[in-house]
Amino acid sequence: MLALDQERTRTLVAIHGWSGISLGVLLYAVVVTGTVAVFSEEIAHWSAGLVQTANPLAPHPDAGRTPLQDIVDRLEGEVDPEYTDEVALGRTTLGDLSVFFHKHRTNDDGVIEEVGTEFEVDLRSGEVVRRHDGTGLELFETDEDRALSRFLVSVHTELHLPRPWGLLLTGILGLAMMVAVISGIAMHRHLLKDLFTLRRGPNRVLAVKDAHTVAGSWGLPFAFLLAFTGSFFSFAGSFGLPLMATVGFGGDQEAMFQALVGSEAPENPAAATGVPVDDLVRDAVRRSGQAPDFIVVEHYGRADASVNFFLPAGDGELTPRSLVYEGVTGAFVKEKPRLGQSHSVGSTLIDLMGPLHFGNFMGLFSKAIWAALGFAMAYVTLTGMQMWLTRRAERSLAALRWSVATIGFGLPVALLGSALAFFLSYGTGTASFWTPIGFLVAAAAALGYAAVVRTPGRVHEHLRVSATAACFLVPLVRMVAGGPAWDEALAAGQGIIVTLDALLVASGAALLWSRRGSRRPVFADEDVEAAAAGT
Amino acid sequence: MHAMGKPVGGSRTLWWRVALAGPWTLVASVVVMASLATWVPPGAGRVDNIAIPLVLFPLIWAVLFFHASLTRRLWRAAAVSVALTAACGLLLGVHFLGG
Repeated sequence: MLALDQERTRTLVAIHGWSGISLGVLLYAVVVTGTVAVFSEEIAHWSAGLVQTANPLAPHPDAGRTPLQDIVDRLEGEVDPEYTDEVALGRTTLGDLSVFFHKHRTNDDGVIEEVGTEFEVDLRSGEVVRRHDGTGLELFETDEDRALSRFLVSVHTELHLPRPWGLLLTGILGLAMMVAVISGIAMHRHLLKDLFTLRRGPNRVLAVKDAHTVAGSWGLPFAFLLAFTGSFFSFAGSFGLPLMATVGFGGDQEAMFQALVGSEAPENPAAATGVPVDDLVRDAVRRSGQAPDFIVVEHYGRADASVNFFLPAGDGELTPRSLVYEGVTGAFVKEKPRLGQSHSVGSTLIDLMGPLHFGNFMGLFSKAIWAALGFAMAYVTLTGMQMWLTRRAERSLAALRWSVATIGFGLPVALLGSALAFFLSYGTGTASFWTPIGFLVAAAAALGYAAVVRTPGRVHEHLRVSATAACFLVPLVRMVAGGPAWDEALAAGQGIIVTLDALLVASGAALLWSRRGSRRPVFADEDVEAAAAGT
Repeated sequence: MHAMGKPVGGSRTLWWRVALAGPWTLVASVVVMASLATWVPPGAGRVDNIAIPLVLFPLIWAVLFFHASLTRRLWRAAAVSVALTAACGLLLGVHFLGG
């Protein structure tokens, strides 16, 4: 595509191959889990069996329902007064109202964190269902209802490694993917032709090479977008933000926090009664046409209180919205970006990163497109490694060949193993512990089996059979373990439970269908021998 | 990069090139990103000096990486990269020491 001389083209081909092969196994893990994590919210609802679909923060036609403000006022008396500086209202995984009284503090690692008490309230009865004390991170990490979704996201963002090492590693993987994409664009001599070339014939390796090139070529812009935004999130989360706080704010994280998300209202600690939050909810919905995802009352009960509404992107919009109100007068102050006090180039760029990476700007429709393109990228990553290895028969690459054959279907088997462990342990309140264990046990079983069988082609095929069986098994175990049946879910308007079950069954059926006619794997061991012999 | 063809500039400089395009480029990109915060205006939202360098970081790295990987004059690429890093380091030094 670009007018490069032969020497530079050779170098680009080498960069493309090495960037993929050196980190390809880990990159495949990040891409596959990223494809799944696109539906992290839906997976949380599916796995927890959410049948309560109403947003507790939306204005409710039921006049008998307890107003939000009454609940907040009542619960305020039940928490340590030092935690009443700020109140966050949201929705729990099971669809109840979450009320989190908290304050901000700098922990021993120098990081600002929220600490306080969270109540889960059933809005129909107004009663507290559960109470938790701790930091925001602790509450998130011990949320049993979200254990499966949280684990899948953690594997995607940090490979489930401790911070900041997991983030740094996925950041480097993002850069490697960017390199593979840019070199892939530059080294194409016939990009237009490559977009449509799918040769059929007895040469299976050639057919897979064409499929790799077609899927990779069509997905190039998307892969660049994912790699770029993914490395941004990883590096910003691991060292970027603390480093910029040091340079831009002299190391004062509190000052940076205020500049990024804090209130602009002048300090006034005098006690004051605010406007009921329910009135502000109605105004926010009237202004935006959207029910809020999240509400934060800063300096609750003070004269300088402000109320921030976090809303999803509206129709035809790409980025989510935030509205700010004065807490005492209820006056609308402004619409602001998620980061920063008003719209600017930097705040717009940051606001765009999330929707472009998560594909959540048009609901399930855009998420489905992102997941499909993510699946194509996983295919490109795996077949790229398989082709690179098929062209080489060196004994020194035997371990890598074995690893690639194992992870292809071994990773889906391990992910489905974590789902099975979640459903089997959810009822006992130990899902946060057993979900990663289920992943590790399934991964160890796949690795152990592959170590015994050793032949990459057979490993690949046998793990495919295991993945097929697990796809059919997970929906059954979900229902047997007490999850809502399809009729119950549909009656509650919770179609996502049926959809995800059906997707798993369809995936299993697709895996069965793809084996029709031949039991010979695409990259059979004899392909390697044939490639090595130059036939 | 050796197995799939001779890299630009020949195999003698391969390891220097890998060191320049790999670890050095990562360090240089971090220094360039940090120095941007000292002179990019904060803008109306008061976050541009933080947000723009963070967003640009992967692109800065990619430009430096491909320059180091594809140039025939490796030493000139190294000189450019070192000079850029030194200039950005100087900006950071002035920012911290000069107040």
